[in-house]
Amino acid sequence: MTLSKEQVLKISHLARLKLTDAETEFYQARLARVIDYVKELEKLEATASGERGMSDERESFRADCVSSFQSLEDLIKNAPDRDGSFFSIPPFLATRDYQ
Amino acid sequence: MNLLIQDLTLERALKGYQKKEFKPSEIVAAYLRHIEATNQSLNSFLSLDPERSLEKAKTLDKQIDSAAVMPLFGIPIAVKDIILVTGWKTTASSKILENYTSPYTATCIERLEKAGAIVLGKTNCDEFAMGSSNENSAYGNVKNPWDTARVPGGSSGGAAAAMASSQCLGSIGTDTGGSIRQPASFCGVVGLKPTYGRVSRYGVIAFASSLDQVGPLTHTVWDTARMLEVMAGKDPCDATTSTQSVTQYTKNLVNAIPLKGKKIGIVSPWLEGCSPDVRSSYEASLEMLKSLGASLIEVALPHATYSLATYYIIASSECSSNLARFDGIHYGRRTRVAPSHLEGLADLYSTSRGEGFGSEVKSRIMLGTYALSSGYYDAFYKKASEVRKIIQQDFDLAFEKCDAIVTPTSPSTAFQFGEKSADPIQMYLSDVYTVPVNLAGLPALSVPSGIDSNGLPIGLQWIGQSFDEMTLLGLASQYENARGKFPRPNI
Repeated sequence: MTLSKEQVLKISHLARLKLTDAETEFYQARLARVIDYVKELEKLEATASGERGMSDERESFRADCVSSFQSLEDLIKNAPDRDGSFFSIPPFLATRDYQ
Repeated sequence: MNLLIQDLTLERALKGYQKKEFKPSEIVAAYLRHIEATNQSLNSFLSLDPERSLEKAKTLDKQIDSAAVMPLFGIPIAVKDIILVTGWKTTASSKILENYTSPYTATCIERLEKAGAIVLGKTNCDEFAMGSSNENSAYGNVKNPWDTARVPGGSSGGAAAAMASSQCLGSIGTDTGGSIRQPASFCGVVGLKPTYGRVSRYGVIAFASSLDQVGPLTHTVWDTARMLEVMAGKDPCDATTSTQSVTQYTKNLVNAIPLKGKKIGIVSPWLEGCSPDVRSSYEASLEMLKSLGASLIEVALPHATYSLATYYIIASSECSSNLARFDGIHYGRRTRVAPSHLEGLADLYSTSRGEGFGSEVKSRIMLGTYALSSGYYDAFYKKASEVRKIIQQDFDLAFEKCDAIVTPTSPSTAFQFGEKSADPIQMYLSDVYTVPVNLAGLPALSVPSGIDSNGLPIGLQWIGQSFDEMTLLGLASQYENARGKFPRPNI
């Protein structure tokens, strides 16, 4: 299969990944190669029945009560930008989805 | 090189502490000197903090009389840089987390530290654990200590290289599709992927949440058993951890489950893709198992041939969701492009992520996004989930006939840098024997079995039933004893 530039741009938009033109071209071929490989599952008529999760644990609940993290500072200090105990982001007042 | 380090195992070190032959500060200092002498050529460690490690060691010096009651007293360990340890940077070998400092410690590490282990540093890996060669790190390749022109395997390449080159006495990696076992095989050390749910994933940066597992890499099966029994067990912070009790694996290794009379499952069709050296080492191992009284029985895993395709759909889909959190807002890299040049918040996310993630990570996020998207979800993700159940059923049927399944860990030994970079499928194929195990959630162990004609280690994979790590460790321990001491590379 082949992937068009538009298909890669659509996927990268959904994935929130901005690609350069060179990257877009690279991923057209790269993704097509992997998708071609994984499509082999089409050959198989899968008829597995029943629930089969990865964990048998069902009663993994804890009490619904507030606990505090040991250090708010340790959490916030990784913020790219902060204002005291607030995370700071640029003021995007009119957001447009880019196509 | 310090001869003491070259001969030391975790078990031997514990005995040495109990007999007061040496102190933790002496051992840690020796390992730190060795790392200083070797890390530049191997690039196994990304961060070290000698002062902090020595300070912990000196605290333990004063507690040497408690050595016998602390299961990992004074043991220097290395931690894959995808696992959080308070105060240490955790980068996931990515630019997007280049300045991230862990605000808390992963449960698995907390347990190891409480038992007396001392973290020496964080090891290099493939970015976000995505890779099979440690060529996808934003901080450079890790070199295989057996031949520095070759890969150590991945994604826990740094952890495996650190172990093989005697830079620590135990290391912790993660295994989503073989990322502990394959590098263990390439580097000539023991590596275990426990049953899904045996070890907590709290504090481990998620790649694929239904596949990831934390596990040890060590010099011997006993050492692995000791690290597992310390780390394993229910954790209220990880709902997928099991309430099944944790066996005292090392205690029961002494009265090991005898190989004699045991049925070892073999999957002959899998050998078709092996290199001649891997195949002959495998066959020699099977002969050894027969001489120890085991019988070999052919088992069928008819749908295992679909494992890689199933895995790459499921793992990529899960990673596309798990890595959505890296958006430049609360932590991690935010683009420095001025807001006036960005078209809104979504563009801030996209630009930050585009700058911060490497090529393989972007590839897998996009594959996962595609597989989950409208119009493709049924054909890809839903189908893969159904095939996964069939693969699990294949293993269930196989284990009705045998006690453990033994295969080569990887079809080849360590390849050269760049050798498998042109075609992603060629790279993915190096995990063809390990990936089915993750899909089924079973435990599996790689044990060094031989050396190939290029002087490179070969690994033997042992696959067991859910939560039956005891059988795996017991049987593999006897194999290891019969095989004899495995050499270490000359660094």
